[in-house]
Amino acid sequence: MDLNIPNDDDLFKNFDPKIEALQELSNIGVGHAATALSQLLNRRVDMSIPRVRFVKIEEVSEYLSTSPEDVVAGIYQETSEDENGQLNLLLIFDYNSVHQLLQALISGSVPRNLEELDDFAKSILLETGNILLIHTITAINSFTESRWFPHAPSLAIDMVGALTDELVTQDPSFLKEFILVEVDVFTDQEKIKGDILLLPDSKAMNALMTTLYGENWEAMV
Amino acid sequence: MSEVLTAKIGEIQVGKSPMKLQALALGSCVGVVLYDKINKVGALAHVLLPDETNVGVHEPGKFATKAIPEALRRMELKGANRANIIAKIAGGAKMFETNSVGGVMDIGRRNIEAVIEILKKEGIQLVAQDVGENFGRTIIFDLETGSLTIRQIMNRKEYKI
Repeated sequence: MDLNIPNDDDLFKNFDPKIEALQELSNIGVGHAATALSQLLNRRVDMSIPRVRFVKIEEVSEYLSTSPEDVVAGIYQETSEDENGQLNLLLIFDYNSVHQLLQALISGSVPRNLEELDDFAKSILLETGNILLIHTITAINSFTESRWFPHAPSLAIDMVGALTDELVTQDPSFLKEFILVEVDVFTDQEKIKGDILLLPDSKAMNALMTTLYGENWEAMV
Repeated sequence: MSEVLTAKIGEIQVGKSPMKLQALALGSCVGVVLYDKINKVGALAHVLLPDETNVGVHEPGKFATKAIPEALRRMELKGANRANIIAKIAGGAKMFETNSVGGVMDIGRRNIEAVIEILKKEGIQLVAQDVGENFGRTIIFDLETGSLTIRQIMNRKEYKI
């Protein structure tokens, strides 16, 4: 496995058992998703070990992109609430990843700008995102014994800062800290970078953490 | 080039001509600009939420209820006269189409309503607005002229209000 974390010393310096376990959880989810993507693309797909961080709302767009004005594709998925609360997800593909994905899936040329994508390209992005997110949710569900059921996903292409705005302004029961999972998916031709933001409400965070660390997880944080 | 200050999420920036104030990539957030055109003092608040109900954080810039009075206070410290101050607002979009019931994702609209109400309460005249819809906006506020430039990156449009 290729760790592929250049200049990312802080991840090692601040070794955090909380992050370790979430990383393992993400690994399972993304593993499922990579298999699904492999079937979709009809070629071998490898993936990096997911990198997991806790990110504050104000800093989300800085982690996702160099400028909050960078145009990206975001696929947002809400889940139904169960006794473990609610867990929503946002998947971000940057410009290069969108380009690579579309080149792999569409015959013919791909527009140079995300602003010019037609409805067909958009529906492909939405479906690909949907597959990745549903597999991630399935993995988390089986791990936490939750029944978060994904609603219809929604695609938006715009400035990354504008897309993450909407998440940081969610219902107050949602936490103001997110779990960011970054993963690279490789084929022999493409490298696709996906950033998945897990947006748990306080109940869902509790369910996740209790599964990973037991009832007293808060003492560890 | 005049100096440009950026108000990040939840921040308030205050300045005088010839400075410019900007907020990048507003989605459902609302950018509130306040301007005293006589003294050429202005403020930009990058408002995140209508109010602090249940949130449990106390940073004034984040909430419409706190950000606007705080911005006015800071402007007066810089020499603005309350009677001259007018307001323009931009942002409050709804970026994702979702089926959520109860307006969880309709925070943009709630932000706009809250900002308008608080401006009214503070007795500040709202002279222009460019709000709602489903695209992000970057705004640049020129403290020399009081004009607010709106940039829609996705639609490749730029105009002033």
